[in-house]
Amino acid sequence: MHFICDFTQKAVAEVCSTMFTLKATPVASGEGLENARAEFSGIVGSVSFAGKISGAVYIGLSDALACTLAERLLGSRPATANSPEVADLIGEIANMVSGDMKRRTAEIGYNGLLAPPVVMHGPSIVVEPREAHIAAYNQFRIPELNEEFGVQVFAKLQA
Amino acid sequence: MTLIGEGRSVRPCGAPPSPQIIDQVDQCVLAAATDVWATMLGWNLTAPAVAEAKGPPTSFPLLAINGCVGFAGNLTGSVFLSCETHLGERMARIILGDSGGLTAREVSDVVGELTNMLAGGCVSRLRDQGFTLAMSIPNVIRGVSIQATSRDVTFLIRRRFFLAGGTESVQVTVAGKTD
Repeated sequence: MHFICDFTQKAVAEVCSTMFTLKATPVASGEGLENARAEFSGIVGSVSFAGKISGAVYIGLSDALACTLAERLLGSRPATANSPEVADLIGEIANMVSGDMKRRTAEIGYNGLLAPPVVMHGPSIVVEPREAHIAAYNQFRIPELNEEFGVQVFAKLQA
Repeated sequence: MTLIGEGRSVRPCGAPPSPQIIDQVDQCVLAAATDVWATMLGWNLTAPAVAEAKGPPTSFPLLAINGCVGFAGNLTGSVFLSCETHLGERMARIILGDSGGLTAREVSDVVGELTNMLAGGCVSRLRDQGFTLAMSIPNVIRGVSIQATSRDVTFLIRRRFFLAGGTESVQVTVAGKTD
């Protein structure tokens, strides 16, 4: 397993545990650039990073899961996934996951600076990499909520 | 369909940069876009004097094909280049020299490369003005009815660039913050 895939799994598990006291278990993963693309529907949080490691992390959740996580954190369920508090939450999740990954990659010599998170919402969001050398996809399951979500990382390492 | 934060401003995080810095970024966007399209496509792009958005961050629409490049340093944020499919295909035909059928991947490659050059042009100009910046790699985002919002940023600039003498346009959005 590429270290990016491994670090994604560790970062997501850590953030879900810390923020929501939820266990997130990887149930599927894939690596490789051939036909690499990520397809999401609902809400996507992303953070770009630049430096010795460059790329971006995309975390895609369904509207229902996004609202459930917001309810768990804020105490009340947002009326819709379009609300600013949901976007704030998804941006924060993306920020924390990428921050955890940044710490781990820096420890093995690949430091990168993080850009602010971008949150996108739509019925179909397809992300295709350009210039990436690494594509890693992980599907996670949260057993307690009976929900799944996906995390795609596209990255390039500088020699 | 109601979209994220539609019609709403985004809560800025931290103090907004001075209007001079926003103007600096805006001027870099104008110069870089004009240069890239003239060099790569031989197109003369024109931009209205007033940007569609310039100041506090707001949510913004993405179009059918969007290139995105992040940048980080003492100015951090993202550059989006957005266009509709037919314009993306038109640009790809010119750059790839292919009058036949284009694959979606080829169109994405061209939009990604134009985004990379646009972001590179902006970053290069900003470095010349004293900013320390590193650029991410481009990704291409496709979809319909995508509404985007950048969190933890303090400014947003959105401009439309029209092909001279036409109504077709590309949209450039820069959202960011200063340290």
